[in-house]
Amino acid sequence: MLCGAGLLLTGLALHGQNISAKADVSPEVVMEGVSAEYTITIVNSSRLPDINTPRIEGLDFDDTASTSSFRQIVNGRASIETRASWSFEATRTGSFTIPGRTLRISGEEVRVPPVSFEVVPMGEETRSRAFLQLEVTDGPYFVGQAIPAKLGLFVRNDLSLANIAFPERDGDAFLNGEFDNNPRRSRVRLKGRIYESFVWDFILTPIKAGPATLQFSQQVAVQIPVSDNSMPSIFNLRRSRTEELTLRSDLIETNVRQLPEEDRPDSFSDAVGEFDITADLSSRDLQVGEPITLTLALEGQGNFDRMAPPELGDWENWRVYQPQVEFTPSDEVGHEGRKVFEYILIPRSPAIEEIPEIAVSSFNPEARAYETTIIEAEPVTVKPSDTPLDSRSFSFDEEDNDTSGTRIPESLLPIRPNVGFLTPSGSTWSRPAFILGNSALAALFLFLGIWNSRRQRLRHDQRHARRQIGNRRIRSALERAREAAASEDAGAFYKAARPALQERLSLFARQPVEARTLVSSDCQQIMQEASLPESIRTDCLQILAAADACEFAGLQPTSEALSRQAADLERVLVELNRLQK
Amino acid sequence: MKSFHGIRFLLAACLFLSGSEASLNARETTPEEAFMRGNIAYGNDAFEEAEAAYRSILGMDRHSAEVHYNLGNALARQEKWNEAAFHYLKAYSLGPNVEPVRGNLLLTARQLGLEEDFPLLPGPASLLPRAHWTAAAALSFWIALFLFLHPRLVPFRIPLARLFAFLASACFLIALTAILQHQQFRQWAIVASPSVSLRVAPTELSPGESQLRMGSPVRVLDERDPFLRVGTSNGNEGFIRKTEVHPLRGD
Repeated sequence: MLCGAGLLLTGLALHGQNISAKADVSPEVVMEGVSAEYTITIVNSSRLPDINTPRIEGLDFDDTASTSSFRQIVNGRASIETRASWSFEATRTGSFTIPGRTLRISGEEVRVPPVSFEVVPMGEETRSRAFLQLEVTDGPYFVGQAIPAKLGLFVRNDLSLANIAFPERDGDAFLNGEFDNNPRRSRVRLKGRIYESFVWDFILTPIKAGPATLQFSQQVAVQIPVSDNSMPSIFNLRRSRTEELTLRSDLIETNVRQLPEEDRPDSFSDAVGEFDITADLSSRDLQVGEPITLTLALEGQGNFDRMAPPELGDWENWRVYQPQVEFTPSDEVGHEGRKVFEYILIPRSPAIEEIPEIAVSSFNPEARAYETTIIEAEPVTVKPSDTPLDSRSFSFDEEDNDTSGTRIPESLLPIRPNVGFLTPSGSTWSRPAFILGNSALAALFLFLGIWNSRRQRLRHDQRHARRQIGNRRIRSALERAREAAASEDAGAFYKAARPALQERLSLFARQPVEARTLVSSDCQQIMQEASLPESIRTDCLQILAAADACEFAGLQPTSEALSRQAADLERVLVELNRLQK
Repeated sequence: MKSFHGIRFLLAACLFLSGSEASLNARETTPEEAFMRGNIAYGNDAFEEAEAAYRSILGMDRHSAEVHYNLGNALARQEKWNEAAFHYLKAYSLGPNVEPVRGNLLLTARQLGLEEDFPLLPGPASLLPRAHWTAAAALSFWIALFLFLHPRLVPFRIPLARLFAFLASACFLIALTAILQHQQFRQWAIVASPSVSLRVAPTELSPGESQLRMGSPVRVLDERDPFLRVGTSNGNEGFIRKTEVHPLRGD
């Protein structure tokens, strides 16, 4: 609440006062590589417009500004100052002017004045706090050469490091190995002072021929003790301020040389340094198709990380694989060590008599000349293979040793003499033969299923079996009866009519009965038990009575009566069949 | 007048004879004969003639791995490598178990500098052509069905029927897998234009993400007329015009 009231009072008191601006650089004399500050102060305004970061060659400004505001009331007169500050570092000495600018604040145009200042070399006192030292072997340097180097950061013992960044290289003619998190630390005495030292060993590689410069820079922040004279020494208060420093190593100016084109051997594979080259063969008694190992080893000092495997060339009757490479360093940065190239070789003919001569070349920067080591041809004996390859048709590539068994011929394989199985385009599913074949199989399965089902039912369902057999007999008897009626043979008619009725009625019996054993009274009982309609019963009994009369008494019906009985028989059987269902 | 009629008669007779001779020739040119003619031309280093003979078989809506393979050879001899690559790939899809087909396909891929890009069928599809796998699937299906259902179909029992039924089912599943693999393989196509832009969207104005070389194999993922969404063997996806590729599927 008090704060709000204060702001209100300040605002009221400021109302009507002119807004002005000033600019300054602190300290007034800036040292190269030491952090300084550029500040714009707006007086009588709490508003700060967007101000672009100054861009001046030789001055490296931070992109973001820090802002602050300061209010005070003295003798009833209120004032307010708003500040924007940028940290910067000078990367060279000389006179500098940060130009002025015009700002628009609350509708007023406010002029920020320019600031001029001097940048002087880092003072001995400041320089002695911390410094960066680069040590490299003397030139001349050649493109691709591996140059061992040391970069040392030295910080005075009475100061403590608050922050440290990785060293950075200035100059694009060189590449350097990575700086790790664990430089060698030690204490050294230099010019009577004790320093904490941080030393990185690394490899420098020139990559561009011509005049070149090399320098490393590193940003560190050190805590500098500050004596406080305002307090009695009895309190012994230790205060310090943090100072950011950009350290630079001495500039190295050199001329990087291209590797000589003249006398460059064909076998040169970018190896630069001093090497001893040896070769070893795993076996001298060989067999066609049996792999052996040729080991080429380069031992010494040089650019192990940049050298390519030596090319063996096209060896007739040999299959040569790309080598496996293994490097064993003898020092921390990999400048010294032993690099081994292990080639797998497969002899492809028993005509081979020797391992061909091998030449390996390197460039020696000390001697400034190419050196070639010749490994003499090695006699070997090659026996024929136990399982000869079809080397006439196929030759194998590097990829052939994979599991897919893919073989690439040297030239086009011959055409096929036979036309093969010609088919129309389109899917097999849509071909008539395929559809017909599968449909036939499906139909066969359906038929078999139905047939077997019926067969099973006849076997296990007695009633059904009886009905089936009965129906068959009835159909047969009815056929005979029709023929007899047509020929007016009453005896034959009744001989057929009786069993037809007996069979049909026997199917109505609750217990299975033999149809032929049924007499008229049995048939009547079955019909009564089955509650058959009276008309059916009457017709059945009439036919059975007539059959009895004909058979046992010899009574012959008239032809009209016979044909009527035949019609009745058919009707009765149809009705009984319907009732049975 | 008489002589005029005579000339007309002669002309008509010549036309009839030439027509009948042409129809006789057309009738006599079977695919087998065309294939033989192509082989003879190839043997005489008349590769263009051989190419025409093999193409005439395809024109009769008949094809086989051998026809595409020999056509690929005739094209390769003329250094039409991208077309040869298409026909070798087609031959490979029809007869993956024919060793020379795969050999020449890989040789062509190397010639085009696309050794790593050309697809090959995985197992089990690589063992047999798709038609054979289809027949095997159908046969194993019916055998398995019969063995499983035979107690309901026939009045006798087959010993170890269930075991054989499971084996037939396994064969059916393997065949089905192979058919699906063949089906997927048929999604491949060969870039037929000298430089094809792999577009970001299916429009003419779409910016090209990358360029495809002639003869490069691409996988057709989708169709958005008149464009195809394709995937390359290195995992890039984009759109190209239908006319810029020879698809394996389109015979």
